[in-house]
Amino acid sequence: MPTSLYLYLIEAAFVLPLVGAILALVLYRVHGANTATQFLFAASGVVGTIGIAGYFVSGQGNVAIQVISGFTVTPLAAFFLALVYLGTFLTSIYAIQGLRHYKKIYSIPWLNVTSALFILGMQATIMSGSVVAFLIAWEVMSIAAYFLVIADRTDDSLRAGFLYFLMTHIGFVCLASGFLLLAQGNVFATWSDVALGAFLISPQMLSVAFLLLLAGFGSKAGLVPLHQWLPYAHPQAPSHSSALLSGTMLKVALFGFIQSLFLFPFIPMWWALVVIVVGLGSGFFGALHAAVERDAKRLLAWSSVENMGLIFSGVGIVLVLRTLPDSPVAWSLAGTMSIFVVLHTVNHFFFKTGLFLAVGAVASATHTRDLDLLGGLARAWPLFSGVFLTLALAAAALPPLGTFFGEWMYLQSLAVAMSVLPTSFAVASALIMVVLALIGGLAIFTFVKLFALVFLGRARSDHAEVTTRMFGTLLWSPLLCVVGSLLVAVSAGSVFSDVAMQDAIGRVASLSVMPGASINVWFVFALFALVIIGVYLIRRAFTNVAPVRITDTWDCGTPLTPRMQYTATGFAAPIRFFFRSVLVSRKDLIKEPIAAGNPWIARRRLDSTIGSLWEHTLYMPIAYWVMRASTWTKRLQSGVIQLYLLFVVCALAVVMIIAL
Amino acid sequence: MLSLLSKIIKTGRITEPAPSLEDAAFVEAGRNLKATIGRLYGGRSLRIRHIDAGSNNGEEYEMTALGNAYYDVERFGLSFVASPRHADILTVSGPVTRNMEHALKVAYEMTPEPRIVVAVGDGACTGGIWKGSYAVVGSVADVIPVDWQIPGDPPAPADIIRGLLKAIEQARA
Repeated sequence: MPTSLYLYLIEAAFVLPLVGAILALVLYRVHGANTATQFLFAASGVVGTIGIAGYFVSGQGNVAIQVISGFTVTPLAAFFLALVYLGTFLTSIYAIQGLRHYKKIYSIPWLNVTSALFILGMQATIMSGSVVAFLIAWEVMSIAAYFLVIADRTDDSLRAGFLYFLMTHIGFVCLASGFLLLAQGNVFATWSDVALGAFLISPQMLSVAFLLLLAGFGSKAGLVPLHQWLPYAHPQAPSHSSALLSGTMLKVALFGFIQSLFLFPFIPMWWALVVIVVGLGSGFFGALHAAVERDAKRLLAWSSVENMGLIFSGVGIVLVLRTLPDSPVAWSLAGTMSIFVVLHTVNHFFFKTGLFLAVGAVASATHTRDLDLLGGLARAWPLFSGVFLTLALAAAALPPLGTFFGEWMYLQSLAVAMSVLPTSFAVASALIMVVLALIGGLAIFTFVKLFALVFLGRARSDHAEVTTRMFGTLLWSPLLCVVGSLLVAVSAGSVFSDVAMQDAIGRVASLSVMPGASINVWFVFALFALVIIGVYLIRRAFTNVAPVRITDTWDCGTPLTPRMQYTATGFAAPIRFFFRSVLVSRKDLIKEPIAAGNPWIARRRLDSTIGSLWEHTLYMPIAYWVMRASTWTKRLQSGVIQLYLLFVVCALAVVMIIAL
Repeated sequence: MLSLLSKIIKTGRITEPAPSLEDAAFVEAGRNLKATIGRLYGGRSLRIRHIDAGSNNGEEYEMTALGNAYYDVERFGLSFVASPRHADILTVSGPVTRNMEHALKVAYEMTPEPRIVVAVGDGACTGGIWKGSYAVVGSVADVIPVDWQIPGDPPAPADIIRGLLKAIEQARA
């Protein structure tokens, strides 16, 4: 493919969402306008994906290509752009049908305009070649995301949107100040200028800049302790936007972080340790809250916190290994860990997009996201439940899906690190492994819960009783995500095999791979198939061959009701109990007397809430002190104009003194 | 004190002699039943689930008596269970009232096969004095298949034991 052609494709992918947005406004009241707009979005995704494929196939996949003035595609950016394009494609073909039931809730043309700006913002953020372009594109993406979060204008959405708006702007301030520190105040510096200029900055200032950037990108990626907004904001958006927010926007934050790592002349060990601790902390808190969550979409958002945490911890380990001088083993391990980061980024993209869309389909049919009210969908939608189960397996990192191979790479690298690296690193690897085991266990628990409570048993409420057939096109995107996840698993074979690795080393000079850290994918597939066949045969061998008469369950004369089933709350009770100090879970028996004077006659109600450790130990104290400080400064506000003039004069005088 | 002692001596024993616990006819019937159950079911015992489909409780008194110390039916290899899932025999008493019709059908459906249904008492056999009432569906046989009927209003424990023996023999024939 000639250079110009795929550049045109990438440019077209950039323009098409805008065309879609204009079309949405022009055809404001026309029937079918949404379909046309979503087709344009999907076209943007397809065209862009082809463009990126062309970029890599054309043999120029290791050089930066300027798309339009100020916007370039680098190999790293191309990878993340591909995720944005795929995400756009998957979510917009879902939204063709997915938005049809929500005409009264959302203003669909404006929602589409916002989505277009959001998609554009993400593309521009990744392609931006300078600080100012990056910050503007980042802000466009963040503000568009805010309007997606408050799209249904309910109180919950507005509250979540406010929290998001606040956090994203704290993040933005961190990013802007971090970049400006690095660029020494030059907003228009390109990335290479910034990287060159960073050599002149003192190590202390570099550390400050690094921490600011980590906080800025971390607040977007949902890293502890700046994650509090994410589980509230992401679920409030329309489902296809939630998928884009959780599946794709978090990856843009990851991209920003990885890209800014290249701006630093050197990376000391303690920065990397901070990244690992923050990453594993996010992984743990995300997994724990996902395990006890009742709201299906919020559960997925918590799981995003968990997975982004894992990815960041992987990045941190790469950074630690890179700091080890003259250790070829450490460099090889850094290579395998980078494979984990890449694989897990793609895998998380596929399963999270698919799960959000699938839960969106469930919510639009049942009008609830509460796991305690859902149930029994497998009977109505057998094919869909199969797709959902596969995605849930991917999310729980079980074979034979891609996630398993990514996490295997992580664990295998740690195992190798334990045996070859010096003692202190070996101990650290063992500790990380323990945390990973905990996170993995909680993730399996979470997705067993999600699948079982939505699909098995009987519907736990009347409106969760689905009798209609599923609309076909809603299934396409989750199905494509399953295919994507399987493709990652299959292609993981060639990634792990050492031959392909040699090829990769040729492409990316700094990448090399531990031979011991490879895994034969076909062996895993064969093992998986053998286990399934084995279970089937054992079952057959031990099942009674006498004919079985199938009747109803004996109910002792009391009709069985869905309320007798396991609930999400009940299922997670052991986890809530073990981690009650971390979860700040509260259980209150609320007694409302019915007859005055007799305390025994009362209506009793159990109120159980899960709080946040960070809200109590970090957010509330800060909010308290901010309020204190603002009441104190309020004394200056007398409302007398002369006083304000005095302030202005004083400020001028101070400025003059500093300037002279 | 002396007067009390003299009273005790003068009065003597006024309690009746302990009755013989051996009701020869009943024990005879029970032994037969035990032998038959042992022969037909290889020495294992049978479980009964009793269903009151609307009786006047006369049958229930007699069925309950089967389990007491006097009749002690468990020595003959019969026992009562709480769930039709555990039962080999369903005993049904009373005419089947409209309220109990569904419950009776469900309980019959839930009993594992091969199940033996015995109608106990006149009400269960024919509808008894309630036959033709608007509140009554009819005899048990009108609702579920019945293997044996034990007439009587209510039948005595010995009759019930004999009836059960017949029912088992007939069901295994």
